Amino acid sequence: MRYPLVGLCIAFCLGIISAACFKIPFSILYLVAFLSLISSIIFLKQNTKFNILILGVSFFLGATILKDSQILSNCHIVKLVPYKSDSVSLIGVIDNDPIYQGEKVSFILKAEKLRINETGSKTCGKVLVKVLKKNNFAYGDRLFLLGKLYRPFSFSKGEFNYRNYLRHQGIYLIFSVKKDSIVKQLDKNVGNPLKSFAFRIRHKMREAIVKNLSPFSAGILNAIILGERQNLSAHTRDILVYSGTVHIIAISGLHLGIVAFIILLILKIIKIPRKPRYILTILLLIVYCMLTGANTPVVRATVMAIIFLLSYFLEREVNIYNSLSLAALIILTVNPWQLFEVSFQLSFLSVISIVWLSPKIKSMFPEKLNKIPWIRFLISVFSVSFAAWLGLLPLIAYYFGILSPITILANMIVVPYMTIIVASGFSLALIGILIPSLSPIFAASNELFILILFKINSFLIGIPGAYFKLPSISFVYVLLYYALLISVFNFSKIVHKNSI
Amino acid sequence: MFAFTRQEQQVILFLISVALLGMGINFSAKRFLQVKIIASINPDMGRIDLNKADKERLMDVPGIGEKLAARIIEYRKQKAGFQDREELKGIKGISNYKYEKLKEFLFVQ
Repeated sequence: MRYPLVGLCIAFCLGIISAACFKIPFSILYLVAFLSLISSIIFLKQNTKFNILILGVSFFLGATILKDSQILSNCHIVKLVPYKSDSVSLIGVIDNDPIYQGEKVSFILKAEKLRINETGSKTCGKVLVKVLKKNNFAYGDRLFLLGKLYRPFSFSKGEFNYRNYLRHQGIYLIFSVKKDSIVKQLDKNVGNPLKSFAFRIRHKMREAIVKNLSPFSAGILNAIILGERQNLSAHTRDILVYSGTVHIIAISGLHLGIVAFIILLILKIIKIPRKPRYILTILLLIVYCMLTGANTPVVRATVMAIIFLLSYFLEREVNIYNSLSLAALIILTVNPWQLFEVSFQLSFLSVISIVWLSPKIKSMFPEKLNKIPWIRFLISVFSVSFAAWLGLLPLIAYYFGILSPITILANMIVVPYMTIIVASGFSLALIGILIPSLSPIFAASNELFILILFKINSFLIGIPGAYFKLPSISFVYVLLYYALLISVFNFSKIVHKNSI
Repeated sequence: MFAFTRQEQQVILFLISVALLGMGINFSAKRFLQVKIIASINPDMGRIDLNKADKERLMDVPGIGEKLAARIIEYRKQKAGFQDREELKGIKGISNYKYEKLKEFLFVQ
């Protein structure tokens, strides 16, 4: 199997990490990257030299991109504002789908003009806005706001640091607008029309779900299908975290896989030929990706799905490690800081561990068991779940401080079950928009499915030894664990080969 | 595992060149951009016109209730319009402290 992008991707990531750890000026990194590029063009025909040089280029390109994201424009808003400022006017455009939580609304604003102390200036950069009003805000609105601008507090919960989390998204300031302050809408729909369209669909789906289900079930389904987690109670979230199935409320590859499968199936049933079917699926997946807010796991899964579907047109073989590397390169080129985010690490590591480990685990079962179809299915599901658990164990322990053996069993049940929930949830949302009178039928079945999901989860974490809380561990142990894992599984491959 | 075909080499080199070029341009733009001071933000944007607002509009301002709004309109009729925001201090119910809180929301042409 050929996977040329993997080496480039690893070099790129190492470049990013080095630039984050060592302070090297941008110009030097840029120069070295440029020189390596020239050298690799010169040695184009000499394969070994070219390969080494291209790895070097990737390394320095990664470092340069990270450094570039640290350099802010002279008119960036954080350079125009002292530590904090009390009476500031800001004009900007809403850059995401606003999140409503109780009495508060929060959204990201792309700043355009700023006025502090009677001086107005043109500015740029993103600001997190928190408003204590009940207005209707939408993506693409140009707003005039009066409020307070300040830097986010650096508080940490476990390994999460809120200020760094915002910084990784390019947000350095928070703007808060009090209840009796001025908010004026200057323009509407200034943003990307495709995004506006995606968000409109999202709102209609949310409405359909909320209208037809009980508050608890509606909250769960909103989280599962649309990625709206802020209204879930801590208790509900805890149940999912302890059973290791919390990934179902983070729109991830699993969701996208299920959605892609459903779309392809429906399009096949209505007899659309293969080429337009794949193209239509790609477009719909992009819309779904935007609709759910385009977080890293969804983007990764969308890129990989597009690669897979496009391979049919480009007549190239698809290799998973290669596709994974391409997805990583795309995501990191846009935002290199994602490498340090939990969601990025968990998303990529889960795919790598499943693809690499589950065949090895499957091969550990005796041959004759594979003959019986339902046992073969059970073994497959177990291998995937166990592989993912093994691969993610140290990161879960490091970031969340828990060790959950019950995850293996829980995911064996929940992951296939998600197909039913996602399918019925989507049906409810779509029927709710298209033929509202039929919604009650779908609503009842959805309530039942969600109820069963929670009964299963609560039961599983009640079993003694289901999960353990751990003290905080250093990252060194994470690396040691992976070194051990890799050596054990490579060793077992040698043993297995020898025994034949 | 690592062999590149000629076509792949070309694509990768092209993409990297474009990326480096883009970053170079971006960097220069960031470094050499001057902060543009503009006077075009109307400081009165978002404020309520003391001379044109009706009672409902005046009551939009936090701190102005029905009675105060009525008194402002009464004052406006008597004096045929405000010349300056400071005149608010002369209205019953608006102390210096209250004026400071209200003035951000109001303006006079």
